[in-house]
Amino acid sequence: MPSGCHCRVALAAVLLLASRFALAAGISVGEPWARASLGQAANGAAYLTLVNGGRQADRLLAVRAPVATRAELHNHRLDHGMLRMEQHPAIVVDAGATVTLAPGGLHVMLFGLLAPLQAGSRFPLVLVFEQAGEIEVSVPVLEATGAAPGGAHGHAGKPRR
Amino acid sequence: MSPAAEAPGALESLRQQPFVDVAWRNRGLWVCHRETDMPDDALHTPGAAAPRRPKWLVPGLVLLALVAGITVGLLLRPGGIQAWLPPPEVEGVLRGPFTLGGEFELTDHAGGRTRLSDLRGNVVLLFFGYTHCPDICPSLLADLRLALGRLGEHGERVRALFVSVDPERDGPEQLRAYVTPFGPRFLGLTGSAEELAAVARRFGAAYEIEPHAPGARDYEVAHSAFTYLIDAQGTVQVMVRYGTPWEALADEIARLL
Repeated sequence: MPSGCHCRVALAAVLLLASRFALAAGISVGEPWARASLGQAANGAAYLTLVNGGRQADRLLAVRAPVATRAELHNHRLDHGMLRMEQHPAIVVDAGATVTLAPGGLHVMLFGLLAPLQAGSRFPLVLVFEQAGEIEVSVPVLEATGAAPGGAHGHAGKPRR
Repeated sequence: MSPAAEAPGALESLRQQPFVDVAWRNRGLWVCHRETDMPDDALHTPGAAAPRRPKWLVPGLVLLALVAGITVGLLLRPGGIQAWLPPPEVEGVLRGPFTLGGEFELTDHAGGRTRLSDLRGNVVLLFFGYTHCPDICPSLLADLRLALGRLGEHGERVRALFVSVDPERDGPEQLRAYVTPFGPRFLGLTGSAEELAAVARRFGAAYEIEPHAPGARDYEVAHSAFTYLIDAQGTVQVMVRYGTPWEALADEIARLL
């Protein structure tokens, strides 16, 4: 009897784990945030975390933000001791991988803000994936002078397909 | 009677013996020394019970452990052994002193002229950037503010200088709006293209303005991203690469205060 019991518990555990993975399948976007504009700064940046819970790689191809004239995926490259910002064609998120967009690295560049980003407000950001399609997140604007949320759990935007 | 049986009796008699403490001078030291008129071998009778553990042994060891513990504790406490050991290597932190840098004069965000020597007596944090920079410059300014916050009142003797290398778009107005939210210890500086090139060269800083049509507003500026930590005498002591955690930056600043 005890061995049969263990089998059943193990089976339940496997099923539970499987269901959790199934729920997390595909791309989810977590912890979006942006810094409030300093004065009339023309440009801004947004950060977030991409998690691919699915079985195949996906690619973030483009971004759209109505708050800016133009939104692009950008990265910094060290070039002759200088940090050079450049457009990033697409961000690959491998199956099971997590890619973090954070200050000093990959980020969503917001060119020509139509109005300064105000701390405490939110703005919509649409991420266009090759496989997962379009996901819209609501990006909270944090104090310009504060710390980056880093590992802290921010207000995760609800994925919408 | 066997010697073994005699021993307790001999020790007992020793205890009852009158003794004298004789102080005698030996090589310049006064030494106290207990003498009895018992023969030495009475104490060391073969087969006698092993001498008892001295009564001070346990309290002595406890006291020793206590003293050792307190000593180690004092040495490990901040400002203890750390004060006279070289600080640990930190990724992205280069410690000098460096010969680069030196005096300069630029236009500040209030429209006046500020020289580095005007800030003598303060630890100065200097870095190059531009206000259209949406990512690195604001996060570095925020990091510096966090570092100053942790230094508390010691941070009062720190000034952070943000030097814009984009004079075409950044005048005092733009700098004031960009820098003042971080507090009164932050100062925005700019100047003519020639002045800025000279200051950057002196600090070994590199920047490159993207070629653009006259009057265009959407070009980018690549720039080296070191924060220079200048001590109260005006010497560059530390260079901190962008991306170094602000806590490490605070530690470096604290060492210069």
